[in-house]
Amino acid sequence: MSTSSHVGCPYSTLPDHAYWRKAVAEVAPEIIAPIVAAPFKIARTDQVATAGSCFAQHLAKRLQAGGFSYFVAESGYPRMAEDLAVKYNYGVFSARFGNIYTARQLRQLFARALGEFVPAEPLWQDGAYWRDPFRPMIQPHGFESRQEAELDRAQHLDAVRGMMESLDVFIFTLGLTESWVCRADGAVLPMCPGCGAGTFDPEKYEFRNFEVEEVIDDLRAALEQLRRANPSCRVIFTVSPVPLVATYSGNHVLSATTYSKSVLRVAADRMAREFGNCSYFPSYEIITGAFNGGTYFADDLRNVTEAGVDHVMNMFFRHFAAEPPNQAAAPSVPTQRLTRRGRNVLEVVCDEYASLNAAEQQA
Amino acid sequence: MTQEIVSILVFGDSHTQGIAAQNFEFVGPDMPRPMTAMIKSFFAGAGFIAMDSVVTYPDGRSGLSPMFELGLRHWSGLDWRGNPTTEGALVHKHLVLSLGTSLSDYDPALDYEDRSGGMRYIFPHDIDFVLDARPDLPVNPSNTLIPVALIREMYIAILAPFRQGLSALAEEYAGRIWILGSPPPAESNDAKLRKFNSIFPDISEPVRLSSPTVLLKVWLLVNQCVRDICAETGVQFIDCSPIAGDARGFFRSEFINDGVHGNVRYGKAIAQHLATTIGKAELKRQR
Repeated sequence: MSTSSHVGCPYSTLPDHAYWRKAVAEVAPEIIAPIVAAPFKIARTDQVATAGSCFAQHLAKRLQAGGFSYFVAESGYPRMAEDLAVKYNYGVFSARFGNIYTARQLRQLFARALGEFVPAEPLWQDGAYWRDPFRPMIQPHGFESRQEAELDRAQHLDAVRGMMESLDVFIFTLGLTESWVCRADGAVLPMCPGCGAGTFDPEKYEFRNFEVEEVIDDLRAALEQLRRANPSCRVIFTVSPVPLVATYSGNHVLSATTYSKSVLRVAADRMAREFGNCSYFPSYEIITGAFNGGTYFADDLRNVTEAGVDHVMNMFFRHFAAEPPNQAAAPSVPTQRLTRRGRNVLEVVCDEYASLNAAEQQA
Repeated sequence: MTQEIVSILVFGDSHTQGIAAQNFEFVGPDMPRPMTAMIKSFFAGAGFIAMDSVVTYPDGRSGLSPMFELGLRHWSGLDWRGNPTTEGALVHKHLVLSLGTSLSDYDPALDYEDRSGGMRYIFPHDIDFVLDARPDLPVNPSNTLIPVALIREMYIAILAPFRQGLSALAEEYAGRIWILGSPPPAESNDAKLRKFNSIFPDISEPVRLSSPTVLLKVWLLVNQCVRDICAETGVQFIDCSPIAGDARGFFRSEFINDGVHGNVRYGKAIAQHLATTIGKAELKRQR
């Protein structure tokens, strides 16, 4: 076999997207799309469920605005006003689970919904109110009675199971590797007890910063749980570009953020390669990429601007939508918006911020 | 000794019809003597609650509604033309606003939409909630559980115009204002469903009302909201449940004919309750 046709550099035949200069440096920032091909499409009729960290809420809102079927399995009461619904976390995510920051949290939520795990952690009494430790900020003050908290939790887990069985597409936004765990049975809490709700007790709770192997195991288990309930579902992982509010790891918060996001990014990539009908969508790269000069972050260098979300959703719809969305969901991003002036920040419900910002003020 | 007249005007919705039959001078055994309660009532129309007492005109000006003003004229000893009546010389002036219970406002299973001027009732949801103060009222497991705090916030929002109207009225009205809470729901929906079907015969889908237990919970919440609003606006609240409620808190069956509204017997009992409550307050004030 002649080798003459193989003597050239193998990179020479690569497409433009493989080259930094052609794909990033010489491309207008607002149209940079760090995705090559989506493995599946989403139709307007597909039931799309979301869960994850604060950033996942942007996806939920834009999917609805785009005319896609955002799946809400725990919708509450139809007569309530929208602001009241949001206040009580109805429709913020596909069920009333609040922010799910870690892969272990997702895995345990699915296990609880399927009746495979019953955490030992009791409800938290907070004055006259009762809080569910696995979603302590799900409504203002908490529940008004133990009975209400218990019934609501049972209804919630039913809704999560219904969501798992009925969704067509599940989008999960990975947020953190740091978490607080019950020593008794390893149940993961969404926030540190004592920070906004609950009481901190080092005998009962311990800090964990998950390793990449653990996150991969947890995501794999969560996906297997989901596929058992719903074999044909499609899954998209994203990594939240929003940095940590605070770290308990002992490292600098910037370094801790890099560790956390790197681990999550690797784990998401592994899932996309390991499972069929499973994809990674690079919202993290779009927001944090140097090409935008940091303009997709607000002045706190943490929250994401409207322009950043516009860019993310433009790319999401372009690659994953089977048909174009309504214009409101994916407005074009004019170049002049990529400046540090006049940036609009979009409001989201963020339990991590709510709990740890208060701690920072006290420190 | 001079016989003192405590004059009371009751102004309100359909429940007031029963009280309206009690236009009488009342000297009950519980009345402080020498005192007579003179009760006049004015039926303002179905669905009336105090929010209807204040209207906002297109030019942004607010004022008492024409119907309410007519009632006040009646109260003030003037007829509807503004001429003095023989009842003008009254010693004390008490205005009782009798609250009603509109089906669409108070039954969480009911909603309606306005289509070309006509209302169309829709039946979106069976909900339930835990009322910690009444553990004897069970939660139906097949209903959607809603946090009681959310339900309360929703009714507080519904009652916002009432709060606004009551606050404005308390400033404008020289006499003393009392709010008579609405009576509780009946223990059975049967008569109510018959009435509903007769009013809206063209409804295509089966009428579905909340269960009496859910309605009682809602009523207890709303009653408390109204009580809180009264406290905030400096208006006296008269709870009718000690008179109107049975052992479980439902509207006593002998007080209802149509499944919803208080009958004449209810009117008589509540008129006596008003007379003694207001009479005693009047006596206390004088001392």
